[in-house]
Amino acid sequence: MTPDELHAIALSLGIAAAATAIDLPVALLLGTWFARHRSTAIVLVEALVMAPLVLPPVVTGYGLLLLFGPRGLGLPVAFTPAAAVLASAVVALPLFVRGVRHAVEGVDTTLVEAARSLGASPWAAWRRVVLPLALPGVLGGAVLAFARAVGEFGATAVFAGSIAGRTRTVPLAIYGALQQVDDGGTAWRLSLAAVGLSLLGAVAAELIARRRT
Amino acid sequence: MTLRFALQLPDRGLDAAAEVPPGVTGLLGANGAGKSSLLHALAGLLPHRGTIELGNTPLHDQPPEARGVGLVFQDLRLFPHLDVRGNVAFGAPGPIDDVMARFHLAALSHRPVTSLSGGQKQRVALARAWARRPSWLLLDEPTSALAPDARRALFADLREALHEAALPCLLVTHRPEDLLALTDRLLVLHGGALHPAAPLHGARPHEVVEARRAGVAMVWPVDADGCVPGTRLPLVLPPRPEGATHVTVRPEDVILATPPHGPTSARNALDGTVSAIVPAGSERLVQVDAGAMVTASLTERAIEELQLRPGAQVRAWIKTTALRWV
Repeated sequence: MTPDELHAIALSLGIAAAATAIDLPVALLLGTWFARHRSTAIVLVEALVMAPLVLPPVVTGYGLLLLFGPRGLGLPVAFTPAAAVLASAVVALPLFVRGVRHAVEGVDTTLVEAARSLGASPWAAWRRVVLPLALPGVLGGAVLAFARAVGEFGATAVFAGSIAGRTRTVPLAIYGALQQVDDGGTAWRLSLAAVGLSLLGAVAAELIARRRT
Repeated sequence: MTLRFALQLPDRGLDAAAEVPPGVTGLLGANGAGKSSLLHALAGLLPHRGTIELGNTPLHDQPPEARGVGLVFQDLRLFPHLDVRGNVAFGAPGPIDDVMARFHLAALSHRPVTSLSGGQKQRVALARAWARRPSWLLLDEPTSALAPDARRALFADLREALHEAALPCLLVTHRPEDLLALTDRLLVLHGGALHPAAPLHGARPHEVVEARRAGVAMVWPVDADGCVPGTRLPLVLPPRPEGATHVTVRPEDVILATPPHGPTSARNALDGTVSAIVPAGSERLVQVDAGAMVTASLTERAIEELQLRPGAQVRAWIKTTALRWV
């Protein structure tokens, strides 16, 4: 593999890791909230958070571009590595939230009552009872989110572009290579690397899911 | 310190008020009477109206974690991700070795709670509530799932712990043995309200009024001559098992008759005066002061036909086979 290809792989992993790390607290918060409360407002928030799951990623990227652009927040984020992280985080979040939500729903609320009666505040009960019992589901959600972030293409292409060494992740590098008449085998090698990484992720998710039961 | 409460749970039809002094107060009531709901409301786990005070401290506006209660749930609710020690230590403000020893859990310290027997789990639940150093206790059938031997062993520990702590304690139970072994006084939850009933043990005669299906109504100590203290006649009793000191009888097994009295097949006749008639669902509980308090469950129609009212002279008949030793 060429240094550029290795760099694309490292960049992909780094961006996906950063996106997953950003998503973690958000997913824990929203997943718990969605699992334990029902109201019209929550359904609307949930629809918004889940939207990237069904929207074409290109549309999500365009949305981010507008949001951070001069007529939105006006922050100079677009076409930077931060934009690639943000795009991956937004697209991966629904999978993470869903994993947390299912895991929290599986925790018996009567155990939370027991914790409260033993002097635990709602936060302490969540930290000491809900989180440890939901942990396998949370990890499963994290693995899925990470895998989704590694494979992210559309939103990243629109919001972060394909700048070599800065935002050109593996999928973007493969796409770029395929545009050339002769890419010297880059597309082939990176595709193999992507397949290998995906398989690793799938195996990890499966192992965690099995440990849960 | 005494626990005082006056609670309303409108959607459960409860409007219950009582004082619980230090010591063990038994809480009786039929299935579905709302005993568990009342306990959960007291602990702050169910929304309620009204007041709860421990001594002079109001608790009703406090969240559950600030009520200082030691609550043992009927379904135990042990934390499956923690071992025995982790469960007991969950709410403990300090070391728990004395609590582990008291409830004989030291040898089980690092066992996962999911691997324990029913009796061991119950010990863990009690120890966990105890270890948080509660100011008052709510025990919801803490011995329900135990074999007789295990129950007696747990009682010994529980009785000692409760005696030492001298905290207000409400104990829900269905078993007359539990009441005899542990309680100092009784409350009956019936028709959504709490009714005090006379205390249980000691050498004096006592009566117990309770919701019928709770399984026991009268618990009488019986002396060596087969007499219930306060009554003159020895009872004709079934053979006394080893160690039994009290007999119980259900109110539906008591027959009341007004003079003139003819012969009957029932062996035990207790003459007395009607002291009270209280509604109990579709029936009425008639209390008769016959030296010992006798409670009979009668239909309204029977009460009309016998013209029973407080002060009426009656004879209570009890079949020998309806008396049970405990």
